[in-house]
Amino acid sequence: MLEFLPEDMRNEILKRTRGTLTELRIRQDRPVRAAEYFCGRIIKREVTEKKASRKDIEKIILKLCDFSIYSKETNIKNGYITSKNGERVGICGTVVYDGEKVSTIKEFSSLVVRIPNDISGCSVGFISGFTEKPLNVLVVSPPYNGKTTFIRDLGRQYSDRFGINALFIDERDELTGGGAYYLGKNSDVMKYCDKAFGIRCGVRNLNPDVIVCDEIMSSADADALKFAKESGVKIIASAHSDNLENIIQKEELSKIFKCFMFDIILFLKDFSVSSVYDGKLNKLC
Amino acid sequence: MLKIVIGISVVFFTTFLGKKFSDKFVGRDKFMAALISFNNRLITNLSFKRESIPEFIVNDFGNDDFNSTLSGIDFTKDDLGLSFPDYIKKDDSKIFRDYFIAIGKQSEYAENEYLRSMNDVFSEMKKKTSIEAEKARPLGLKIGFSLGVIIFIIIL
Repeated sequence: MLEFLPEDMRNEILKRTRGTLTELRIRQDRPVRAAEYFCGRIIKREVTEKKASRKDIEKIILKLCDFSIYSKETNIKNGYITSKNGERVGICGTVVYDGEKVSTIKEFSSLVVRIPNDISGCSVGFISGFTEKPLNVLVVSPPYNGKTTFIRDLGRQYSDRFGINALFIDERDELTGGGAYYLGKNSDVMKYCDKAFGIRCGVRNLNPDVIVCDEIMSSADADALKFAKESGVKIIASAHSDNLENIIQKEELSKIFKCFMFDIILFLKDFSVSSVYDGKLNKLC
Repeated sequence: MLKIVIGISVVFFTTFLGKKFSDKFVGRDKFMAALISFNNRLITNLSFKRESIPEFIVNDFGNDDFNSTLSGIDFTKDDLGLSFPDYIKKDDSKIFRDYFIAIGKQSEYAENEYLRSMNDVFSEMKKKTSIEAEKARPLGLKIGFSLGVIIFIIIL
């Protein structure tokens, strides 16, 4: 865990952490701040006395890239790097353009480390309460409320309990956690590919029963979901939002809703299910 | 009789010394050849396999001294903890050190440009080391042998 941090910084953070570490913010010339889950709530506080320097941040990025920036260039352009243990590190710095395309990010100034948690069995209640057959499920919450953990477990449970072929489209290596997380004995994983490509390619070539993907948001995703639906493949996906009205109002998400009807829309809050709707947006519980 | 045995031993010994003297030039030339191979393969790696530098350096580049230089790299150190064989000139080792410190720290495009430019630099250096090695090997043997023969005559 956090092996990409300078040793003294890592030791200090781990020494001062009391609960389950969920997020770190490393900013130039500031002490490192952590968010940790402790006694049922999230606590945010400084966990180092020493301020992080520009050199510290550069060293972290270099280590995340396995000392080879070119090997993670595409990720850097997209503003993140995923560590070998599945921690997603968001990068902030100066964005360089080549024409209209982002060429790279340089002069890194801050990093946001999101530490994934794998809670095996967290979706079991949902499965036994609603369905034992795969349905099209959309899991919704603001960032950092357990969407990825939930859909990972849902896919895993379907795969293990019911022998369903689950295909995980792991765009950012968060679902697999760099290979650290078990995804079920009947699961396949496509890593680092965008969802639109992954869904189309998966449906054509891998014959999945259900596709699991994180954070659907674009019209390209919508087209791919439609394609999967027409092919009879179920989708388990997640989306950012805090309530139903916002989902409907969000331009890109409303496009998805127009062409793809989920069977169940499930809202998470503080890492637990807060409400469940059916495909026609009737509240079930 | 004893003088002859000692004399012949001296000839062998000085010839051996002459060879050892020329070995450093040959070693330098082989080291350069391995470095050029490393650089070329790294360019190819960029376009296809895209292995990271720590994964890439475990390959065999055809020279034991060069391979052991690579295996001694410590990526956590700013200067990578590099050490080169004794026969590498100080000026050359500075170029090599700068090269190893620079690789892996740029985008694919910039990395490619850099590696290609270094290929020219290394090719020039290789030309010189090849000429030196070609001259040194027979010269070292000749000088060593001649010196041995002179001592042999003196002993007699």
